[in-house]
Amino acid sequence: MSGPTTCWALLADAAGGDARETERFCALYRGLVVDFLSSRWRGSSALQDVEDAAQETLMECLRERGALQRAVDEAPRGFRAFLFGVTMNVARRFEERRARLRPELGVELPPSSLAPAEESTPEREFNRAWARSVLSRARSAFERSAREAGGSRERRCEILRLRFFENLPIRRIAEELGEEAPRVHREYARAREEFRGALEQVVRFESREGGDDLRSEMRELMAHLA
Amino acid sequence: MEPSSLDDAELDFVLNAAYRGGPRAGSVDFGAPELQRFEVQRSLGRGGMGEVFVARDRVLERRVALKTILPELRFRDETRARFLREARILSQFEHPNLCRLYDYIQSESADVLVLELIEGDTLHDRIRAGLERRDVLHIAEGVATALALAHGAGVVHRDLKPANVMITRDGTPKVLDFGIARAGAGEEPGEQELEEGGRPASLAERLAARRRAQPVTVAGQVIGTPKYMSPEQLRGETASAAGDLYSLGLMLYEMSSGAELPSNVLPAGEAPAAARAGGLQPLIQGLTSPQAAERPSAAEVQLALRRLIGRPRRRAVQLAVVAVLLAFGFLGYRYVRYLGRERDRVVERQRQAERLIGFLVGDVAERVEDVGPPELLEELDRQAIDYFRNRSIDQLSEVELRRRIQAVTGVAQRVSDHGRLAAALRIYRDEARFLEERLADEPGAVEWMFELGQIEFYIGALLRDQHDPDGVRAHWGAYERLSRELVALRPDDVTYRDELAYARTNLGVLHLEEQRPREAYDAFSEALSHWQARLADAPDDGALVLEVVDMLDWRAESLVALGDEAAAERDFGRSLELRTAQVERDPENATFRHGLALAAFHHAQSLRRLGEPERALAPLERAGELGLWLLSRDPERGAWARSQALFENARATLLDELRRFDAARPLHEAACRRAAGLVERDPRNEDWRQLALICELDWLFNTAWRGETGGVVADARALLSWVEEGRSTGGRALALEVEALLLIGDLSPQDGEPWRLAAARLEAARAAAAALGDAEDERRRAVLDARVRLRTEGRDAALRAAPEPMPWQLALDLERHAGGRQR
Repeated sequence: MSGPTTCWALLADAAGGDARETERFCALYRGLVVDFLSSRWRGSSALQDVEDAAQETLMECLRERGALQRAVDEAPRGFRAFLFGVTMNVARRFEERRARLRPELGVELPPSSLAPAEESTPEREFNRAWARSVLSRARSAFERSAREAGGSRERRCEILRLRFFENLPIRRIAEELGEEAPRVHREYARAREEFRGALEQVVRFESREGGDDLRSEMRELMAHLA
Repeated sequence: MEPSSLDDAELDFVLNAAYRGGPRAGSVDFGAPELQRFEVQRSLGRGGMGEVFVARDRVLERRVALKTILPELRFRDETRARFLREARILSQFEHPNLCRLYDYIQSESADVLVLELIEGDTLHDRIRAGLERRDVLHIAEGVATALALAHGAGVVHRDLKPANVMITRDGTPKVLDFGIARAGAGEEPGEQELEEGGRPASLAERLAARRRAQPVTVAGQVIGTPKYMSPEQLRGETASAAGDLYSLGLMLYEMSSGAELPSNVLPAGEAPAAARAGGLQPLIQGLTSPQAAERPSAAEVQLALRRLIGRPRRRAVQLAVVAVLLAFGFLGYRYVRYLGRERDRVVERQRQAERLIGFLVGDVAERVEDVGPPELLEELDRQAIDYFRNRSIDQLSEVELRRRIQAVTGVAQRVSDHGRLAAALRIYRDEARFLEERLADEPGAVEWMFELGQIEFYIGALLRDQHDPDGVRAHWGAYERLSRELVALRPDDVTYRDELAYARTNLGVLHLEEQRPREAYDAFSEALSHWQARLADAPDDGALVLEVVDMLDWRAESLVALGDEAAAERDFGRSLELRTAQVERDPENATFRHGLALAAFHHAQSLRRLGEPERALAPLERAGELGLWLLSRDPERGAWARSQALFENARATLLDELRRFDAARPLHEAACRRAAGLVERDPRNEDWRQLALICELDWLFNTAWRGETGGVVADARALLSWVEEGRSTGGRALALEVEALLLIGDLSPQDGEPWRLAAARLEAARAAAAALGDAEDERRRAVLDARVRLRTEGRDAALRAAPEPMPWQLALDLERHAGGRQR
């Protein structure tokens, strides 16, 4: 992976105005913000605002001397908490706008904007969305590198897909691929290791300390997924 | 070597999440190289935690049983630890009366116990079929031998029952299932891990570790099957070897009588004739002595049985004649039963066929619910929707229109059952619009009104899941309005009157949650009157009994909120009576039992609030027994474990209230352990977390009241930070903080700050409660207020602030702060 090796380094570069890193920052975190807002506004007409709100969140982060700069300068609770705070601020702004529109348009309010002041749910949702985005990035990285390498790596990538997406036992996979089961088993074990490596790389990138305590980072990730 | 960031099971979990969005519930993959020597032939059975397969070992050419953990549970440490423990225990033995362990395999795809395949019947089945005296003695002797071996090695089985004893084809009894057995203290892998890891970081871990490290096998833990449990085990005390012998005594009684015992206590009066004739009566009496110390050891039982086996039988001829007659009678009975079962099968097949035909004309998932696998149901859902999408509404007949509605609501329900709430909401809203249009064309058409009412209810229910109180109010309000209109149009139609009662109940729940107890009371009373009238017409209708008891409980809740404890106690008491009768009619129904347990708990709490703690003891004990029964059925059921922790904690605090602090201790510990187990299972479940905090705090107060103040301040401070770590800002969390601060203040005589802080937090708790509409804890806050005032303003101020009757916690405080301000 070229460029900054942790999200903090990426943030520092993006906050400094580096166009390429800014673009990369948006590409990495846009999906997470959209995922979270879609979940928050599910079942409401506010759903049509998701794209705009995600855009506004990222803009808020990148605005000169804006939230992102503050995060890099102060970084009180980690990037994820910071991004969550910015996203929630933007989400609430959108919800207020929609609430004001409601009498004229007759649209329903986003359900969660009327929820009691239970702060745990949005943060939990956000963390879950973060965990999903980490997995999705790991899987993309794993598949991309397999495609680039081609040959047996690409085949291993397919084995993992057949095992976990198609839910096939190894013996069936071996039949599908016209291979001996023991060989497929060895390839499967290697594919798992390669996926683990891809995931570790993403988790290291996301962690503030560059993944010094990878084991606990992984545990946290699983807790958010469970 | 650097430790791996994920072990194999965790990597499986992550891969499933990455490729399929979550952990997969599926079957074990035997494709791993380590498992390829086994040719899996069939599944013997699947339980809550694992599955057992019959397989052939290709290398050794023998048949074996493969016991596995369900893949979706494999990444849970506790499940794997339990599995490994069973393997370690079995590996110690090599005896014909114990199931032999051939191997334990940990592969990347599965954990597998390779066991001796025992082909035969369970003792449970053999008892039902009838056993001869010789067989009884032989089987009991085999079980006693197995127990003597296990106990000699320091292993307690803890779940000995006829279903856990297999009788092989050559008649050898074999004791199975050491899955919940436990070896001596300090041998638990979990304990070692915690101890080796140093001082755990969080309070939850620390307290869990402390409790696990206690030198008991299972104090207070739900282990075993209550029907075969010793009295001390049922009381939540240590499960010991003597407990296993009590279970053996009950089994011996069943074997000799041929009848199943209804509970873990032998019927009063004489032992069965067979036991008397066979010389087993003294042994049964000794084994089932209520005093554990009076029971014989397994080795003594083994010897006694061997002596009986050697004794010549008297009256053998007479007994043989009786046995032949009984056998003929039994065969006749079985033949009649067989015919009955065949008839049932035909009827069932016909019913299933009808259901499928029902689907074919568009009546979807509801009718194939019991018949098809989930994939088929999904497919049918999709096809039904397509069928109706491709046809214009105008082309549909009335019958088809009704089926369309059923199909659509069926699909929506399935979608929402799978957690896709937004999609379900869209389906319901579209349907509501469609029905409104129909009603605009045909005002007053009761069928459309009824359907629309149903849809309004479902929309409200979904919005409730999404925390949208305004939405819920609007839709459930519409449901009530439509139901009322229907009753006005068709006053004699009971369906519509039932609907109105349901609608009133739903609104009552909302009123109660939103601090309108008077309106809630009115709504529940109206619904209660309706159900009581219905029950009067059909007194044997179990469903109506359920409606009445639910209403009684709800109305009692609203009476508690209104402060009318006496009336609440009457409603709770009546509900308890009805639920008890229900369980007596259908003792195996877990829902009834859980309902009864909760009713007993509520009744007890109500009695306590009325100032009658002695009377509360019996219902709480009853609730605890029922809770144990439920958990023996399904130890993994979170809701049941939660209820049981609640019951245990309530019983513990009740004993504190009665100044029986030492007796309360084991119950406090059991409640804490259970609640900590729930938190470990799901740390993000705020309800479980709060329950754990309440249990911990009550445990700490008990510690202080017993005069063991060492370490309590540190624990209370840790608990305080644990509360603060939480994300909940609800009134209950703040009330917990106040109590922790009171405790810290009481035990830190030089520091007045904790009490001042408690007063400030209480004020914040009030504000938070007002903001959150939290009426539930009104009395709790009043009690806290009086307790804070006792410390900050003195005795008189506390008594002025105290609610009536005098809260027990304040009474205890007053005893300890005798002169008002204590310092």
